[in-house]
Amino acid sequence: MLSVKNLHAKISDKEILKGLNLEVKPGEVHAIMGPNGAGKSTLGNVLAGKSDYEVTEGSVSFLDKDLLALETDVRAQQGLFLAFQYPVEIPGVTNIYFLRAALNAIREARGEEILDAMDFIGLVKAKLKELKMDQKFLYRDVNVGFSGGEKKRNEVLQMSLLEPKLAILDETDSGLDIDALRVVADGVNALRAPDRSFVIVTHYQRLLDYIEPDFVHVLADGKIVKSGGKELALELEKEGYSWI
Amino acid sequence: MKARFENVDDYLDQKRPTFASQLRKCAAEDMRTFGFPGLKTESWKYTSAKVLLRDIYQPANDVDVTSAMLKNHFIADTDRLVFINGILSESLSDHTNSSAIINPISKAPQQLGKVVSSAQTGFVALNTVLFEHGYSIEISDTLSRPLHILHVASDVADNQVIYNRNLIIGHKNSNAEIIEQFVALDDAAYWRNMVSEVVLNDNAKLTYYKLQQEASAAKHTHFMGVQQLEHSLFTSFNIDLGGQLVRNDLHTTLQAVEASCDLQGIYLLKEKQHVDNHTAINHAHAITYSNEYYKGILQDKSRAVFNGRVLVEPDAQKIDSNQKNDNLLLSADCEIDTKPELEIYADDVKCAHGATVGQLDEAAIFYLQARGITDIVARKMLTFGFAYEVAENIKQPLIHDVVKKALLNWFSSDETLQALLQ
Amino acid sequence: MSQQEISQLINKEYEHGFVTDIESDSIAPGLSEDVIRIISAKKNEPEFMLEWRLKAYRRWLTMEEPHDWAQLKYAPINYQDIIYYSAPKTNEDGPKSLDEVDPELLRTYEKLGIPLLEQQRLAGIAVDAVFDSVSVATTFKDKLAKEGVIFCPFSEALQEHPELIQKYLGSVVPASDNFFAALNAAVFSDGSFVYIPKGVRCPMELSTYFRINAANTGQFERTLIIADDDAYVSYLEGCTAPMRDENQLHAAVVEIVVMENAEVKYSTVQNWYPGDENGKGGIYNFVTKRAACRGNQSKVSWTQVETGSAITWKYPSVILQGDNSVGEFYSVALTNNCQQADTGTKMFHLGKNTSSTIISKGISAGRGQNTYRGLVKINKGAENARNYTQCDSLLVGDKCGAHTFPYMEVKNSSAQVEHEATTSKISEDQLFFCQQRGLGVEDAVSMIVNGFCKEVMKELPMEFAVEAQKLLGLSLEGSVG
Repeated sequence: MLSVKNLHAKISDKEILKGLNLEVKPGEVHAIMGPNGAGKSTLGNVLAGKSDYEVTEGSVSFLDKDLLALETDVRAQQGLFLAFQYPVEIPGVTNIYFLRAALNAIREARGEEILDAMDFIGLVKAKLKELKMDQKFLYRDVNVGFSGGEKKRNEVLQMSLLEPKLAILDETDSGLDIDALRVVADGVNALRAPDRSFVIVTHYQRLLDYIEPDFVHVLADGKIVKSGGKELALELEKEGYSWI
Repeated sequence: MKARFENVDDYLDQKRPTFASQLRKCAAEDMRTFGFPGLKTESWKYTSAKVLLRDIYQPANDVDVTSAMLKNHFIADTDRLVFINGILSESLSDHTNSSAIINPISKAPQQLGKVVSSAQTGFVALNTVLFEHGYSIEISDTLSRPLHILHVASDVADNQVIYNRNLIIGHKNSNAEIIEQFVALDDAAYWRNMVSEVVLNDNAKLTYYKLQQEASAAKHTHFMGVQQLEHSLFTSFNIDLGGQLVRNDLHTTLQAVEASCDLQGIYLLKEKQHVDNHTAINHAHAITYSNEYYKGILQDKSRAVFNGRVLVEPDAQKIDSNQKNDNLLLSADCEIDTKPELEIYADDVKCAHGATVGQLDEAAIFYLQARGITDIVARKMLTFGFAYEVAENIKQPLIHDVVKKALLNWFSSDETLQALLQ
Repeated sequence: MSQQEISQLINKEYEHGFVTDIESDSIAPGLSEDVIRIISAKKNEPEFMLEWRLKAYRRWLTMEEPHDWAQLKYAPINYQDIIYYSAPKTNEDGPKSLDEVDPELLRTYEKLGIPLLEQQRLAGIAVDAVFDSVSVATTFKDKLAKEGVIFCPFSEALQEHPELIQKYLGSVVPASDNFFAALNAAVFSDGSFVYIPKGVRCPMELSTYFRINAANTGQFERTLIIADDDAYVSYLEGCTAPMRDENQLHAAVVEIVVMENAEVKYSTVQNWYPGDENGKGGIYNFVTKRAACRGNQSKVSWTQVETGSAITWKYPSVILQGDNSVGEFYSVALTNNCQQADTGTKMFHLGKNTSSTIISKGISAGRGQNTYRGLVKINKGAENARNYTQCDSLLVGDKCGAHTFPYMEVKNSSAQVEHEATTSKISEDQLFFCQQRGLGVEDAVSMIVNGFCKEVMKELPMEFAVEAQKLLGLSLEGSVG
């Protein structure tokens, strides 16, 4: 699914990723934990193709393609989804237009039929129901005036609609109360499938109480310094990051 | 200060309608004293009146227009007032069910000149000296549906001018929504020079939508003055899509306690359009509120001017005022001149203004791309969204749809966007 | 806090209001070509200088005193009542060192808190003192000369470096620029001249103190600063005047030329006599200050704290010609009693990747009127220009005014220009909080005002910041209650 080899990346001359390796197979859930400033958010942004970051060394293959050679939108169309830590507010663009535009762009890339407004509304309403979200959500501007929890739910809604192959959750748990966390986790768990993988980037262990990972990696100073099973997360919770 | 005095005498020699003769006499005096705005006139610093002063414009003629020709412009479920080349068309209008009292302006001359003085600019004075047509609307209750005032230009010659003088009075506790739309059936370089006076009495509410879609060669100057009494609310949406040279003056005076206004605007410019919006909000009384948000998108060689003045008079305490003007420049040859102004003579105030000129938000583009949307489509969506942010504040669904359609039409060359946003 | 208490807090007398009894060499009031010839002859100026002055004068005669656009109210000035040249009468050739300076004059500077002798011993700041229209003493000349830095009175530079003057004078502010700049060009009698050669970081801060002393005298100094490639200098300017019932005119010009990779930091603490609480007397401060960032990666930073003068009219500007050049403007303007200030900046973006920052803090108290007027102009060729402007106004008392007029003219679509402004009164909550913690009203207001100005104050060199902070407190005294 995803194979990251010796990845180095920098932003405005500051090297953040310093030789990161990661293998994700279909159906696996990987948690990446680490202290602040370790490069956790950089990883998600680099994989999604944010132009502020420059990859200086290493390679990433995604579904046997050279991911780094693809434009951001093409990566998304290929099935890579990044749930943003800080979802962007877009005034003047209604959520429903945005969702349909995104879904149709991805369907088109997959060679599937484009959904008209009626079909789409049926689909999205069903998803909303699953996620216990109000329909009013659709008619508000993308993330504008959303609470922290609403923004994260909107991310999960998009993930659920776009049905990615690989979803990277960038600190999706930050700023969420326990109820919102559960809704988000339920959404993710419902999407777990043998051909779909997850990379969950988080600072805290608590999200992993709800989404059980197959592997846990510790990211520190731009590298994976330790890998293990889910018990590693509990260790980290108890001991903190200082012992690494 | 250096005004232009050319053409003043020619216009003063033109035949004047017989009513409101005293008002016209004073206005003629003002024209002689102040002339037309010149290059050194601060409020016309970025807009040259030259093109308006090149000719001596003659009043436009009445022509026949059938309702079939206007079908696309009618809005369902509204009462309607139609002016063809500035002249009221009884046959095309339909407002029998409206509770508003609607009359030709010639029936209300004694009420004119109280909100907008002819000393304001030479163009207001010129309108005052020569206007013949226009409407007077009085509202006493809550209008059951919006009133659509449709101004149609048809078969007008390049050197012809349409003067309209309008009056809207919102009586106590009244509530109205008025959409005033300007369209042309053919392209011509005519000039529309309009003056509107609005009085909102205690508790009166008026939501005024202006949808300006003049001919692409047309000139449009519109001075609107609003006087607001206690607890009145004036909301306006000023949407400029057409015209070659457009100058809107929108002045409102918050004269009594709890009066408030909300001025919003969108200007979308292309080719060599020049659109100038001058707004002035005068907090003349304590405990008054204002909000203002204008957004503009400029393409090609167009030029936009925004000047928003907020004045807080001495002793007008407890004022809350917010103002914002954002601009998006899409081509290398366009120009924006923006100037938000605060002039404050009281201390217990909270006033803020801001203005930006810039490009689309790169973070938003990345976000859309990360969802699989291509760069080009992402930019289009965001460009439309930039303008639509104001339009979506229009709560009246009929008018919201009309405005949205008009905005989409402006982007009409763009099929992707059309398909996306329908 | 009541309005009355507020007004009591603001009013404190001007502490620099003494007059120094020094014999001065003045010419009769009035302005004519002959007067200009006399000034030029007294300074033993080269011919080109006289020609330049006369040309400026002839141009000035055709110009009108500006009255209709700035937010200022003042009676027309009678230019024939003003004395255009007044110098402390010392021996004919002027003082060679501080020992030769009239002791009375030195005591004046001491009263002002500028002990020149003391300063000479303390390392740190080189001072040029301009008394009425003439530079009387410059310290640290020798030390600066070792680095190749020229820091001397303008008149001296005209004798010793005429080629530099001829090359740069009027190249940033032409004689015909505006009414007051033209007047200055015609009659200016002295000022400071600074030249920092290539690659030199000026080893100390340079400072000029201006003092108007004689009655009915106009002060027209002219400062010219040139920073050659890779040079750096920080320049400070302070000013005071005695208390007099009539208004006195100060029409200065400052020109700065900045070459490649060079940087000039220009700080002003302006404390001219503001007039009494009824608006009688005070300086008319009509100043033209402009810098040209000629070279790539050049930078100019204007910082000003304006608390004095009856009327202030000045817009320190930057012409951003070089690619990647940077212009900054940090300003605090305080008006109390009947003071009026119309000040701001102009940023002209011409080069590529140029950026400018404008932070303006206006404080209006008493019946003071405070106007920010600024222009940000992005020319067609200025790719990727950036501007950020923030203007905040604080109102203290209900009879004052605060006005904001930002002009933004953008002709390049890659520009990002952002302007924000707020106006509010001093917060009751903050005051209450401070008082509840035991602070007196005066201290609380002074603290809040200083906090309001912090972003600007931190741009000032340390010694100046302390002085400026004290000045703000003093200027506000009596305004609060």
